[in-house]
Amino acid sequence: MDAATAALLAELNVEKVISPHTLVSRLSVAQQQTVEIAKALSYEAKILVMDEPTAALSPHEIAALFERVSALRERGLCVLYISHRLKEIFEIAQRVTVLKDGQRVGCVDVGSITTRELVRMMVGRDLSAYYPPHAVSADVGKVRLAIKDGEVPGRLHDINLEVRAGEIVGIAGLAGAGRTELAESLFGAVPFAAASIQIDGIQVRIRSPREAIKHGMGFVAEDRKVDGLILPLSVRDNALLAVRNMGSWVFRLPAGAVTTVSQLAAMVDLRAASLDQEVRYLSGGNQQKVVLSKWLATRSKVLIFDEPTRGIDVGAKAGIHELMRELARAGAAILMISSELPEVIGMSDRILVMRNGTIAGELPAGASEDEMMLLATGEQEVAGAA
Amino acid sequence: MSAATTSPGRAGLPARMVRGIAAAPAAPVYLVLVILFLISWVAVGIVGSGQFLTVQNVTSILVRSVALGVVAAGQTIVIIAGSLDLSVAYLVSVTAVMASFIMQGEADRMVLATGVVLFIGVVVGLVNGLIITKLRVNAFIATLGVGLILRGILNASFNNFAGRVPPEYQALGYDGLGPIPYSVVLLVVVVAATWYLLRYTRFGHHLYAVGGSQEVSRLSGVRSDRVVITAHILCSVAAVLTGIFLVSRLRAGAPWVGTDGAYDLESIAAVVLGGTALAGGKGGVLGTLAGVLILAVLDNAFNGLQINAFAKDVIRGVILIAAVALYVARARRAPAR
Repeated sequence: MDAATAALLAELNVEKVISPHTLVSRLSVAQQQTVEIAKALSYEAKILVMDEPTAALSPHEIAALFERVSALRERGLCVLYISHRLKEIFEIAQRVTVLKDGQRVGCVDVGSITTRELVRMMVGRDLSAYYPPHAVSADVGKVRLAIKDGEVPGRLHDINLEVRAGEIVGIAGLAGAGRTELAESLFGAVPFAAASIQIDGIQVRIRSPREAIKHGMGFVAEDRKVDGLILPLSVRDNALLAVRNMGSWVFRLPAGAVTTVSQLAAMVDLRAASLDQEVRYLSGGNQQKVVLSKWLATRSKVLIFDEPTRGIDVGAKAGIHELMRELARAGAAILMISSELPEVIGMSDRILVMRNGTIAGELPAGASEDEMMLLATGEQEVAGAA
Repeated sequence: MSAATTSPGRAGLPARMVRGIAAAPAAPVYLVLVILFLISWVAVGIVGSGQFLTVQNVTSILVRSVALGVVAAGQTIVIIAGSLDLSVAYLVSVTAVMASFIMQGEADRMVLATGVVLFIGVVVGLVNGLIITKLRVNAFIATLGVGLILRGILNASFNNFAGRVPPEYQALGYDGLGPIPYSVVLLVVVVAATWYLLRYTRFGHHLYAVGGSQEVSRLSGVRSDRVVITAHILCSVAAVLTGIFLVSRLRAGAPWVGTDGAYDLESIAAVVLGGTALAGGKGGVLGTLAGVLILAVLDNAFNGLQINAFAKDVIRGVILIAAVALYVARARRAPAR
């Protein structure tokens, strides 16, 4: 078995760096990928599917990977290469298929298409009209949240942003650009190693979610079943989870608080059999409303939404969008991360586009999907980018 | 959770109460308890000694339940928080030995001895909690390790009955308020306090939250480490109370008091039998009390029927597995809306 492994590794020219006995956990991501490729070779795969293989690689590792992929192609292997990095497509692919919303848009020869045309294939569609109206300048108030020079080594760098009361700021970017990382750092789940944070003009430190909540922040996480809700607990207990440990009282909320939960449920238009129902039995939209009511209960002034409408049906989606706009109108500052470009365009009063762990640029409301895509992929700098 | 709010219909108070009781999460466990009690009554009446539903025998079932019940109440708290405590049996032994060793039969040392053992309990709970939360050692291993350390220290220092308990202290084990033994009062007070804590205090809610999801709790501002540590302190204090009760009945403490009772595994069995999820986040102390009583009734019936100890264990094992399988099945069938 050792000999067979060594032979496979030799085929990939890595026999000197990776021994058959090396623990995979000790290898770099690039080397681990090589092992995966070796695994595919070991059973003489005919088709190799690579899903965003370069997401965690450095430039010279990418070059090595591409050499390897080309060599495999020459051996007659069919490689299906999935990537959001358009540059890579042009570098390595012969044909490109564009998928959108689970459907095939088209398949073209790479030689016969430009980057711009490819981007249009990826995003070209009509904007739906069901988004609530944008903020007018009278709605927008003072700066609620301001970050200067935020940094988390290996995740984020040079983060500078401001969000004003009454404003919804969209954060766009491709997978791996650092959007969720930004949300987690703002909320203190993975605190900034260095940053100057001001909330309502006051310098604060946010080293834990608890401190973030104390300063009036709320976070609607990307995966509500893992980071948003305690599934075996009731609607009531989930909605009161955050506010319960912020007060100074020892005992359970008195009867008055029970009305508060029903008020919260009414505010978010929650459809549940009872407030004592376990949240695991609610639909995605209603679960998201419970998460929202958790932050309504703490009267959050700064709200961060990470993919607020993922896995939610169209009707409930419009409801969540309406709620977000209402919260903004009531004076909240809202940051919204979304992979759905129509959502970013439909909801945002300003759009920040992230790339490689930092904010690549800012676009005004009504920016086009093309503009966002170009910023996000780094294909072309937009004039006036921050 | 609350039985009253789920049935807002126009039914009269008695009907609502019946429905409320039937809807309570611990209801099926009590149903099992009642059925088991009736079966035992009939079986012991026909085949065995015939002495089952007598004041004396029922009192004996209750008194037997005290030691396990008090530990199990504490165990319920840590299990709801998603943890576990295997050190309780050794802590019971330590308490029994230390209390009787300090008292040496002197009534005026009762307060001192009680204070010292309670302090030991707090320290042991704190150590358990710190190892689990700060060193990130799995609760099973952490508390097993602490338990072994306690056993080692105890066996190195004592190898037989140590000291003596003054008659005044034995009152807890043998006297009572009229017909109700003080020990039963102790059990009722501990269970009631735990029930109140779990249901009506902020800490109680945090226990369920942390047991349900430590990550969501953290992201919601709950200091989950503190919750887990406090839970362990309470659990250890409960074990100390059991130790105090046992030594008051035995008149002197010996290092095998806790381990002979197998309070570690028995208390976990009672908690699980009572419907509390071993994974945390779900359950309650009333279920645990029923679990404890089920085990005690079984014990008592087996004695009355003179069934040998091995068959007894087999039946207890079957009941435990059947109960948990039933809970899992019920949870699967739970309403989708």
